Amino acid sequence: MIVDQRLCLGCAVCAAVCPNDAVTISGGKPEFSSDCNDCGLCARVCPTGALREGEER
Amino acid sequence: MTEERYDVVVVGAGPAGSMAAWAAAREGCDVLVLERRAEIGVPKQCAEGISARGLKHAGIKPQDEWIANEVSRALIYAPNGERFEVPGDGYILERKLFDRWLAARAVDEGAELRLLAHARRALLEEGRVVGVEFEDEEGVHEVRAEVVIAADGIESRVGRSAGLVPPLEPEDLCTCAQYEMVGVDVEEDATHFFVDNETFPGGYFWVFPKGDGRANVGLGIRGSEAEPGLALELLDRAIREHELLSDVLEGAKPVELNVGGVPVCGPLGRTYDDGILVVGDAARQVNPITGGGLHTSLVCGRIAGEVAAEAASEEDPSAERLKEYQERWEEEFGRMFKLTRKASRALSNMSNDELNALAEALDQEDILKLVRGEGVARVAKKVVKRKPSLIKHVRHLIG
Repeated sequence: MIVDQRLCLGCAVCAAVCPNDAVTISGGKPEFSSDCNDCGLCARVCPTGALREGEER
Repeated sequence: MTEERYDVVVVGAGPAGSMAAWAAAREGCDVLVLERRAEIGVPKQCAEGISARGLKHAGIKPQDEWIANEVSRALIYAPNGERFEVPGDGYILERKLFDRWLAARAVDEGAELRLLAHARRALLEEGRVVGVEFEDEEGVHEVRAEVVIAADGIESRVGRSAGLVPPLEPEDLCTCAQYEMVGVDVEEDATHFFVDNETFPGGYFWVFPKGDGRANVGLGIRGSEAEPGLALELLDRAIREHELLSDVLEGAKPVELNVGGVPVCGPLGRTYDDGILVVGDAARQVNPITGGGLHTSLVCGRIAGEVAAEAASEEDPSAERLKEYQERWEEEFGRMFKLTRKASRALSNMSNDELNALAEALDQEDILKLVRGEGVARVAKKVVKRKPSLIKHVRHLIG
């Protein structure tokens, strides 16, 4: 998943719903581990729309 | 890697964690609180309301320094604009100051607070929780404890790694966005709740006045109805266009944006295990109808701190011993959670027409009962009698 740093406010809803336990909040922002399978659940519940599918470059 | 040892390690310095730390320190325990942020209570993720009876139940005397405004009633607006008044004293807090006051109280009582200390997981030995692994600017550390209290919020890494906290299903949470605004033209002696399942599916819109035209203005929608960024988008749209809101909020200007998730599934079935207790948002100890979690988190936090302290002093952190925590919080809130969870589900499934009909069938006393989870069956029977068409939604609330 790609995090829009500008929109992410670090609320951790993404980490709360992740079925694969792939999200850690670090320095106030989510980091995705290799357990992420791009299911998109986190993006769907993100209140600000800060997450989208794809690989971080 | 260095290793330390405490009687009780509390993860998270929100209201539940600070309350637990205070209660345990007061019993004479060595208590360590790990907080991942640099500052307590920031950013706020809350509409900041608590009932006067909730604060009293938690044993906290209201303090001017963290009370922004006092209210004496709630105003609930049905989708058609019909409004209901439910009397009840309450406070809108300044959570940044309240949370800091609670944390300072725990520290004054002897608890040690470490900031920028990020708990990564529970330490497990032979299936028992024996401490916490955390990271700070110096690296990764292990701290051992007789009892770990996971007050680490909605995502609860520690609760999860101990196997007690499953991920939230989207329908079990509300995704929320809120502005603190100035220039809000509402009656400031009331909290305002706008219920409208077409515009705010499975949630509601709120205006909680903080005095002098300042207010928390926000909404929550059910995660299962959400799309990326929808909470914030709906908030902006409702402020601009919603027929019940745009008048009140015309000329209001945001000075702060807050977002967050609220668990609305009711509490975990099991909030304890060998060496660990789970409290607050981590334990889903939130009223599923109102989304309010301050009252319950404070009381449950206090109970957790007391039980952890007793267990630590007896050197018996077994699940069998710690079960007392669950028994005590269930005695306080078990019935309320059970009934409000059912009622919340019924409400979130109703169309706007059905909500309007429901509003016609209820008086203020009924609404108060629903929200508090008291006499729900009686209220449901009354609804069926007055509005038979609603039977499919409230049938399971009877008996």
